[in-house]
Amino acid sequence: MSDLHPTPALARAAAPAPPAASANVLEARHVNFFYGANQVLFDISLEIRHGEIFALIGPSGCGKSTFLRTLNRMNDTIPEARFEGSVLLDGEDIYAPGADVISLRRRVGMIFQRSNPFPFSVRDNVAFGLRVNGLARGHGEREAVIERSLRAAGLWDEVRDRLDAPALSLSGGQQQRLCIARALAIEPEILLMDEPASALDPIATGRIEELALELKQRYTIVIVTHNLQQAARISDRTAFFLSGRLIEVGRTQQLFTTPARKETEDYITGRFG
Amino acid sequence: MSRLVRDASRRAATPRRRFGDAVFAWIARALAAVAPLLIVGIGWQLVRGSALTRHAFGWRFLSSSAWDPVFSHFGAWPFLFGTLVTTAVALILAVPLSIAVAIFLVEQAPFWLRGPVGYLVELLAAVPSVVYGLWGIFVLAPWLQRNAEPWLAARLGWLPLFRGPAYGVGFLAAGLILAVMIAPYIIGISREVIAAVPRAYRDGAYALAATHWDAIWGVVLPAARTGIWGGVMLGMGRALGETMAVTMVIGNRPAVSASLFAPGYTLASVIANEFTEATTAMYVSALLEIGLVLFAITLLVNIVARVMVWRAERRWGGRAA
Repeated sequence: MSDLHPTPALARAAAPAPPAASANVLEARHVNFFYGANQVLFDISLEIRHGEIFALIGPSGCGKSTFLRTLNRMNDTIPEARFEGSVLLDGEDIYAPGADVISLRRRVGMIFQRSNPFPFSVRDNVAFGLRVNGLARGHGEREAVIERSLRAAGLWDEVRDRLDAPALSLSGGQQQRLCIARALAIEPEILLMDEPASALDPIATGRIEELALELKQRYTIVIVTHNLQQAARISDRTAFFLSGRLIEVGRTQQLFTTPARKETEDYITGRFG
Repeated sequence: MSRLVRDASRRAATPRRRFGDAVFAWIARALAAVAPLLIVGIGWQLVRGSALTRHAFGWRFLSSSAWDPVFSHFGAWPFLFGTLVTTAVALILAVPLSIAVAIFLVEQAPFWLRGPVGYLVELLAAVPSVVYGLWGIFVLAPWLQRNAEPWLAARLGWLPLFRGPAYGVGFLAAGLILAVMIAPYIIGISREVIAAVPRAYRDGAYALAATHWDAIWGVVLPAARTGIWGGVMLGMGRALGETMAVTMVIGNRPAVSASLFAPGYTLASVIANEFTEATTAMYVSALLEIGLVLFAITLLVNIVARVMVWRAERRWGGRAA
């Protein structure tokens, strides 16, 4: 998919905000998704803009996580799953025949609901993505990227003296920030976060939210959350999903204060979900 | 009602009940002590029974190649050598193959193929070793002698391992048979521990733009490493002690040779072949000392395996499969 990727990631990050015409980095068009005979997404179309935090909210089982996983084709590994429609990344369909899923995931990183550091040392966790992608091959360069990634994830000061300690000896919040550092090391353009704080205590959750706001300077973030306050606190725009359908999408403040649809209002005022 | 419940719970704590618990605890402890006692007992019997040769030959028993029951000269080196060489050949052949098969079965095989192939692999472990021996002596050994060994000699003859006359029966035949016999164990355990690696690790690797191979080699295998080692050690234990099939194909000649084509002997085989002929006290003692050596090696392998597993667990943070 290198033909989908005319500018190197670094140049892109350093460049000023692109003109409005190309502001949509990700665009889902008429996405349907099935697990076997069971349809879980119905005709979803929405755009994610460059440099924003985009929140997906909705009750459990509404398809928001499944939708998120269609954006970097993580659903490909599920047997019996079927995708229809298209997802455009900078105008190119990531589901086109011949599209390279590996280079897609280089550009679109993912943070999971439960932190999943590998059972290696802290250092090796961050180095993994570099190694498999053939990045930062020299020792000095690799160490520099590891430090930069851990700093960007706000973890460096806590782990600088124990880079060789097992990642699983870190606290839950630290493990999740390590997973963020690991994703940042390969310099993606977009970060998909699937309820990244759902297993964390309020303090660790707060740190993840601060981190998301910091990362927004350099990355486009799509975050799934069941926590409405969290969506309201950090996101620029929000989409509300219900039973596999996109009910409403708009500026977060507007969606939370003056929703256009009855279902949205019912959900954000706590009538169901 | 609540009063009844309270009464019932009070009755549970009567002295008689507590006595029952204590009896059960002691029975459990006694049964748990049987296993270590058996190990110690067997070891002690072997040490005691081999006193004659231990005093007569000392450590030379392990390094001497003399095996002459008529003149009561006993040295176990050819048998020790044969056991180590055949086990090494078996592991070199079986370990990479078995891990590859396990990866294939868990990660790559089409779903409908996994069950049947897995079952057939398990069946390999159920074949009696004497049947492997028959196959070895009538099929494998002649094939080795006529085809494989001349082929190897022509291409790899510059290595001492593949020089000399092709006997058919010998270290190579025994190692091959052992490889087939231990593979099901290594495959079975590897398959289980690879399948037990959490899906989250694989997803994490894929999300970092890892290929299927990167995920297997870089995350799944390291995470499963401890368990795979366990399977390898189990297979090694079997290869060291396997008697019948090896006895049938190794040639039973107490000789040390650099060539894998040459016939040899193993610790287990010599015990099986000669215990009926051991008419003198010295001879019996020599066989028991060979048993002691085999016992000690097996014990050592298990201790080393334990230590490795323990160190691996510490390194991985204790959650490795």
